[in-house]
Amino acid sequence: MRGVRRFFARLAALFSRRRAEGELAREIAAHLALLQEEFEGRGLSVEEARVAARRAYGGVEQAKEMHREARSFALMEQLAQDMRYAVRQLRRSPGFAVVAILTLALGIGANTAIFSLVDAVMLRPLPVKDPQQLVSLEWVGELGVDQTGPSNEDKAGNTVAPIFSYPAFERMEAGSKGTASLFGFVPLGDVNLKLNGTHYLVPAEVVTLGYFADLGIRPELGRILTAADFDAGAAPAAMISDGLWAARFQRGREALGSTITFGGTAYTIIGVAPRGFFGLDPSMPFDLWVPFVRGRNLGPRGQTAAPMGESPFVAERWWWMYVVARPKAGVRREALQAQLDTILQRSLAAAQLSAPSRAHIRLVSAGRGMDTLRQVYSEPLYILLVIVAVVLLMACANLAALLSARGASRGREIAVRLAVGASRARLVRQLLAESALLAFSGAAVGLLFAWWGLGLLTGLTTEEMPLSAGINGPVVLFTCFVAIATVLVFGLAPAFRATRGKSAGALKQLSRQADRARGSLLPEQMLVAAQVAASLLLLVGAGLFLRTLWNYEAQPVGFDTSHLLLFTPSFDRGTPDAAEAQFCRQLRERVATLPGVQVVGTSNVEFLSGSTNSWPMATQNPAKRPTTVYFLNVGPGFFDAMRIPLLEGRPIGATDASAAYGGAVISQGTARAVFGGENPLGQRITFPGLNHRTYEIVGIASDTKYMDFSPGFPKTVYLPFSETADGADFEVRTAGNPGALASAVRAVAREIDPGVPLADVTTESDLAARALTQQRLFVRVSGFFTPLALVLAFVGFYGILSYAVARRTAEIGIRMALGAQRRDILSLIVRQAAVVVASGIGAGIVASLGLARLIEHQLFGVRATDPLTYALASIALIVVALVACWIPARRAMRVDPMVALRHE
Amino acid sequence: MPSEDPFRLRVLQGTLDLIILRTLASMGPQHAYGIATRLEQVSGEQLRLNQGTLYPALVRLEQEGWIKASWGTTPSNREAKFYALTGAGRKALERETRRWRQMSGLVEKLLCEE
Repeated sequence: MRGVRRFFARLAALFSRRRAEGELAREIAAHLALLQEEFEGRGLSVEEARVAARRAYGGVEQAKEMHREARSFALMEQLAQDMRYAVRQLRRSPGFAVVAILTLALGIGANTAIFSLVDAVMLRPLPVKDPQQLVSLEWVGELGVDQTGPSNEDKAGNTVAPIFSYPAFERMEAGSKGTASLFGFVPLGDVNLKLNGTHYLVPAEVVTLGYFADLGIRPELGRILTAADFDAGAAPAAMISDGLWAARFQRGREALGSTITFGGTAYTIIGVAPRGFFGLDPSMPFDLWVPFVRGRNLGPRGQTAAPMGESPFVAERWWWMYVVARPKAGVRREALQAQLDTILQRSLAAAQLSAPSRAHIRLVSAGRGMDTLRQVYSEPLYILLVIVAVVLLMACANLAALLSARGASRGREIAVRLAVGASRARLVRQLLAESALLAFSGAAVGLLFAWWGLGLLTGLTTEEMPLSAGINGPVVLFTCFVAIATVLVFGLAPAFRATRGKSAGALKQLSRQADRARGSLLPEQMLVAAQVAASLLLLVGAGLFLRTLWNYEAQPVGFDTSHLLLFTPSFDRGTPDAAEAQFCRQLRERVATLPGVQVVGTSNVEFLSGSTNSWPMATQNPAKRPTTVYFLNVGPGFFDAMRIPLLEGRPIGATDASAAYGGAVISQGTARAVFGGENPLGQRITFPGLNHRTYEIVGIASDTKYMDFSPGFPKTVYLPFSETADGADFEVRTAGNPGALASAVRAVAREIDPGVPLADVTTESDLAARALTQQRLFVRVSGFFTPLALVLAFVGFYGILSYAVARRTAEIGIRMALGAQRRDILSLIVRQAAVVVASGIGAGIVASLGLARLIEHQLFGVRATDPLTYALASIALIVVALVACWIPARRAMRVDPMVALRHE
Repeated sequence: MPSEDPFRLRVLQGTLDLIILRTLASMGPQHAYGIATRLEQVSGEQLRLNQGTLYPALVRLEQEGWIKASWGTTPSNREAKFYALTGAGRKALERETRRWRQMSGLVEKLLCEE
């Protein structure tokens, strides 16, 4: 027990320092008085007694120091003292403090904002039980199956996709029972559902039995889906998200037992998922979960049947389900992978694929959610992180320069304190305390900046990245870490330099060195050179990103993106095709009569929306292998509405949907690639495995972009809608602002059928802009920071040159007295600036070339090593340097020799 | 530490707490000067110390709760901080004295055996 009590006493003493010090002084005075009295009693004079008392007592200050050490924790007390001292120092120069804190806040805030995105996308684990154990299944290889869902290509040209057929899932689930628990799920898209008599569009997901149980989800209210809910005869049950519960039920208990109707099934809500649970893909939050039950209308994203009309539950050649596994304790990932692989081969055999197919299973960690979002955004996020890290480095360089200058101007004070016996360590600590105070104030303001900037960032990316990025625990920790790192980066070197022995002499020596310095740079010049290098890096990046965006936007897309209103009627799942077709026909006719509407087109995919369909197309020539083309179904009016010129033949008309050989239009590129020199008009084409129809080519359209802005034109084929289906996506060409017609169109749709809300009401130009979100994000972020970097570089330059001129006033005076011309003085100053600029630009170019590979993928129409961009960036920096030179140089040229010499 | 014979100081540091407690136990409440004077008296000329060096020990003992400080006046009517033994201090003194006796007895034995 001994020591514990004392520890707390010492701790408490930290906070009662002032009182204890007063007490101590009083005690010492009393002690000395008693001693003096004693000596006086021995017959010494008052003065002699006083001296003798002091001698007997020993060093008063030492005794105090010993008392302090015993009383409390000396180091902590000194730290507190240093902090108080730092606050006083900064309060004495508020201008410096404000500039320093704002500079740092900018750098730290930018890093915090981007880091919170990184945290949300890449780092944050899913809010489920033991997320690190979860693995998602992918197959790698080549399968001749119909895929509905994401797929990528790896470096070897293999397809990589995380989707499986329902029978394949069932086989794997049953076959791996001893080693792992597997569950599957499929996004249904935004489902048009009816709740309390109103239609809503709600993102929904269909899940297998293991989903909630294996994820260890504890419901906020009610219960999770259980085995009974998955029986074919069971009453349909559904779980809703906390968000939907709050929005539609105000978190009331009556949510349980309420009915949600879609796809011809009435689901009873049996539970509410915990707050923060959104499914397994952070980019795709869900609000509704329903169980996989045969016979219900459940297929991915609006599709209720496989392409050939099979039920999704038996279709062997339709791959569309995500599968996630949690290996049992002690099961190695490789073992599970091998086991699942064997089972997969059985599914491949069952699918009876005509083309030779091969695939193997790969397990991917899914603890932070499905991989798709990370794959798409990891590279852009790293680029943004590099940009903001460079900004922070610049801020640090700037501050280091400022602190160096302060250290130099405080040289005398520091020299005096060193002379009277202050230890160097203590002085360094004191200067560092000042830096730390700046850094943490900067970090605090930076958090505010980040909070504000994050709003801008997510506002910019919300369509692409519906993330819950925010300032949370890990983000604040990161900010603190950054703050500490900045203290070390910008504070340590100036503190050591300032306290180097005989500072005053060292300073004098420094100015002598400056005259000799040609080859090597002084520390403060190096800092400015570093700022120039960082600015160049940012300038080059901004330039490259800007040119990429321009290049994308300057590309011909092949159709007119302006004045196009887009929308999609959202039918209840399972609405009969004929009913959908009739609604669409009515809507088309009614919208066409609205004032301001020129043409109404329909299709099943919108251009530049990021979606596409592709399938191998066969011609009449049996010797030729089918060519994979991108296709979409369009209604009459599509080519007019999109303003896609037809080069030959006719567009697709109203009768093509029902004709025996429905008319198809192919793009110019398709004609060239598939038919070469032959005339395609009148040729017949088929899509084996997709449907049983034969089309006749009736027209050739000029090339257009399809899915996105990727370079070149895809081989596109336009097909008529089938007899029963009519367009889902509408393209309305308007005379005026297309957005202004949105409410009129909604009203028309509501009149025809209030149960069919319009989804995705937007304009083609918005869609085009959204397709370049990422590119625009780079331009905005680098465009925001580059001018700031230039300002910092300018200030840095101005600072060192003014300082140099001030320091060399006498020397300049002498030179002028000896007959130097103003030109010579000018060249003296400019030469110094030139050395710094040249070394900064050189270092910047080397760094930019080093980082070029990082951004190579993100560029379009411009190489990462583009000489023009580098040259322009360098010129911009030289101009900045020249402008910064101007005022100090003028001051130097105006030096009056007489005044300067007298001053000396 | 101010300049003193290093050996003497080391001995002192280890036993200073004990000596102070003993002094307060036998003399009643005392101020730092009184304790220092007493130390010098008892030890003859062997122990002479800068009186300021008592302070850390006094702080330590006070923080342990073995002594209690209060302001009072001396017979000559000067103010001074008086330190008095507490109950816990009395127990600690017994304990420390016993330990010291054991220790010194042991050392004595070892030295005698030679």
